[in-house]
Amino acid sequence: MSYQLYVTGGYGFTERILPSLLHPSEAVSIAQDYFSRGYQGAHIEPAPDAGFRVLEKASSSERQGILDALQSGQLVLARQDSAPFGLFTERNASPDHLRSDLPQPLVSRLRERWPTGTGGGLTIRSDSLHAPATQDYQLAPEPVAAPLPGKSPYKLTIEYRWPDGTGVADLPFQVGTDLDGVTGTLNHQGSATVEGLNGRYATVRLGSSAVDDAVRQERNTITAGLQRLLEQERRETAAREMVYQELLGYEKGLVSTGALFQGAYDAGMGLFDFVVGVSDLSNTTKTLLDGLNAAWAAHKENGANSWYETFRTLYDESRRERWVRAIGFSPSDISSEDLAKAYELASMVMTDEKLRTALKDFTTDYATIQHHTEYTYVGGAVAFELVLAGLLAATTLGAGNAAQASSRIRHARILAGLGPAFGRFVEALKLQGLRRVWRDVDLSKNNHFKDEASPRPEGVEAEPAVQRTTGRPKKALPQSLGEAKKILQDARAAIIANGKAPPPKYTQAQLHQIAAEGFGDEKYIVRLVEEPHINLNGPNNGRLGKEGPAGVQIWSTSFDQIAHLDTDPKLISEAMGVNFKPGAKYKLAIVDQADAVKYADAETIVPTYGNLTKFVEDKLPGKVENPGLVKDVMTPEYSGEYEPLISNMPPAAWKNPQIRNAYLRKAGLGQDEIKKFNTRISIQDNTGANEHFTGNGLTKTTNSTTEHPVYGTVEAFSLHKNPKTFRQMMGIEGGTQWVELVDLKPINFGA
Amino acid sequence: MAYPKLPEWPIIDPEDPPEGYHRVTKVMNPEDDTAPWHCFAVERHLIFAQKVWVKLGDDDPGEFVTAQYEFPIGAARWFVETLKRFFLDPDHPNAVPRGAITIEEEVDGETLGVTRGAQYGSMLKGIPGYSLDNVNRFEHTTLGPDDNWCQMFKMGDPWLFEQGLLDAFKDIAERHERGEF
Repeated sequence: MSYQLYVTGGYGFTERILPSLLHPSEAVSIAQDYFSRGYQGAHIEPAPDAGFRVLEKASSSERQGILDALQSGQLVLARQDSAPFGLFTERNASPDHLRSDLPQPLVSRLRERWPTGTGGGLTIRSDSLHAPATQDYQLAPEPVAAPLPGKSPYKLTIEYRWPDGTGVADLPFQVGTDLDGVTGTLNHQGSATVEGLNGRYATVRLGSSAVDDAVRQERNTITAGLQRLLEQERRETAAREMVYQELLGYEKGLVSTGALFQGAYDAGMGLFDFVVGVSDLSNTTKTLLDGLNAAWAAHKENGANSWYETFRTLYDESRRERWVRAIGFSPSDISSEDLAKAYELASMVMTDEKLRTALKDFTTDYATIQHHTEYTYVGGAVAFELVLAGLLAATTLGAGNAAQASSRIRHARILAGLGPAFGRFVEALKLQGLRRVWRDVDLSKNNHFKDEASPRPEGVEAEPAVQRTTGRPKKALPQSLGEAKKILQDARAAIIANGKAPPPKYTQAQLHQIAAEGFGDEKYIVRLVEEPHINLNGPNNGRLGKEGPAGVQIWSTSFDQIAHLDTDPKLISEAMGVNFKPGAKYKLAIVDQADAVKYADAETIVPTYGNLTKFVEDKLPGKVENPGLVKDVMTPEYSGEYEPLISNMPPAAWKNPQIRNAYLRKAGLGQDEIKKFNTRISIQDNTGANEHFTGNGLTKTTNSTTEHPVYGTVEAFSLHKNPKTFRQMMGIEGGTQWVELVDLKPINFGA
Repeated sequence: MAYPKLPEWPIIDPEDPPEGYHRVTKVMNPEDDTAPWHCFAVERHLIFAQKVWVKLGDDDPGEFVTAQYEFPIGAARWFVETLKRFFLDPDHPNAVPRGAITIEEEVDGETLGVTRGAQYGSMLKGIPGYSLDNVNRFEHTTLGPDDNWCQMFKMGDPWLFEQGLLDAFKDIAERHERGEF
């Protein structure tokens, strides 16, 4: 089969070739086949004025350029031996019969100036040295004869099924020969029979090429919508920044710009946490997403709608409820069927490479705008959940309401407005995926056209989001006490010069990351000390770990965590989760970790559930009868039980174990529950892990809530087995100085 | 590692001790002034007991609850000497081994320990301290035993070093060594 490329309106684009032109989507399909499979009985002659002399030697970018030009209508493809009238609704090449789904450049060109004659086209390049001589093609179409039932020699059958054997029902088809043109729809068994064909060579098409335009159009709608969302978010972030800058003094201290605004906080932190959380293989959301993926994979061979039914019977109801809650909906909002349908739609969206890339880029940009966090790679699962949530919001609440529901839906709001466009895109994509074509088949040899529809695409795997390492600020790692003091002085000078408190050095995700890594690479840890305790029993005769501002001074952090906060005691105390006493005088003890080990046999760890459990197991092996109980109580679940018991405990019970046990008994606890409580409070006794202990190694800032915690620093639990006085640690009595005390002076921001 | 446990020692009334209980001393924890700790010598053991009146609210008739710790008589001297090992240079051959926060040894047939704890002085105030442990006995009060933790008599640094408790242990040890009980 031979084809000819033309530049639309270019050389040779005459009225005479119009009947032979193929619809752009078919032209793209043929050209793709040609490029991917090479010459197999077909040949495409390049356009004389397009600059390509031999298509077989075109580069991949040139080929893509040709495909794009065919798709947009800047190039057209003509059959050299027949007249398919691919641009027309009738077998009449007139402006009145142009198909409605043609690309706009082609339509515009045709409508503005209908080609005439048989020679040059609309714009004959008479000045071109390369333009070939005018050539007439013998392309006048032969008349098309209507099929004559009973007298025509050829017939054919079509059979199109899903992998599970059920028919692809209601799909339109077209059969064309040189002499016939028949259209119809596959029956519910996915089959059709066409008789009375006069032409021997038939082209059979399943599905309509018109869906190509629908796919392209909806894709463009979505990508344009994503850009609008990013622009809007940039504007809102800039507006929040302006309000933030108008705040005074300590209000700015440890609050990120977004966190000042609850709505932004809900959506932003949700997305941010999700991006981070997907990296964690134990993350609940990922586990549930895997459940959906498994349900999808198990039934992806099924026909169009049966997946919903099998999904509903197999997907655990409690799992559905947890997942639905995890992304911020109420379980009553969304049925299993809603979820199944949305999952299918979202999975289909992610099969489109252009959209998948656009969505990943969008997610990355969106997270960066909100949290100044850079990612080298955001897994498809993150974008996938955004699409899924957006679809659920749009389908369950209605597109109009979905955006308004933002306050209670974690990140559904972000893409909710695009839900309908996603729906339309997927419907078109599904139809596009069902398209099949057999070209110029000799009906005397084969007249049974049978194929199997492709199974649904693979579900989206949860993938980690990889944070750009350069995105994490460089740690402040002084190598001497003098250098550490200099860093603090410089930070103070910078803050005074800027007239405002610094923003948090690390994002919440980065704090989690540092908590997991520990402080092994840091030479200094720091501890906030009230001045009277330093001079207990004489100047500098106090010890680290004496009575502190709120009982948490045993917990410290690394120098790097507070270096940017200069020497302001309020900023530091807030970051360390300590209630600041306005009248109190504080000092910052900078402790050399290695020397603390050397001289005081210090034990320093990041206090997570796991680390503290291990600490008790390793350090106190003979004290606990049942170590399993330690594991049981070092969990978020038991923390939820422990906190109210502790909070309601009378003051005397803090001091005296007998009163405490009587309180527990009166509170209705049984022997086993009392044993658990006593195990937990013994861990508090041994390590300082109080009822506010989060288990993640991070200290919640004093100005954030339990429901929406904002973490200030990574904690360090430090136990000096052989506690020294400050005189000893500072080398006042001779010997090595391994602790420095720095005066903490508030900065007056004018607040 | 779980140590074998001895049968529970009967809890006495420290204000009216049974016959044969020799009153040795009485000390008050500065962080828990609910009631003093009474120290007795009986047979070859030292007994520490604290009896407190517990009344939780107006609808509670109230009751006395006594906590009690039992150690071999040599515990006082062993505690004084063992505590010193925490203050030796960590590389001293007699120091508590690096990385360890507790040391355990057998004293008069029972295994005792000294442990460093982050808040043994006060959980509310975050005061660290040390404990004298008997790993062969469970914690217990008149409300019942806690069969998950061994006996750990916890003392804050200030109580021990600044308010005389360590001296009290030294005194008990010397008096025992003089044959007073």
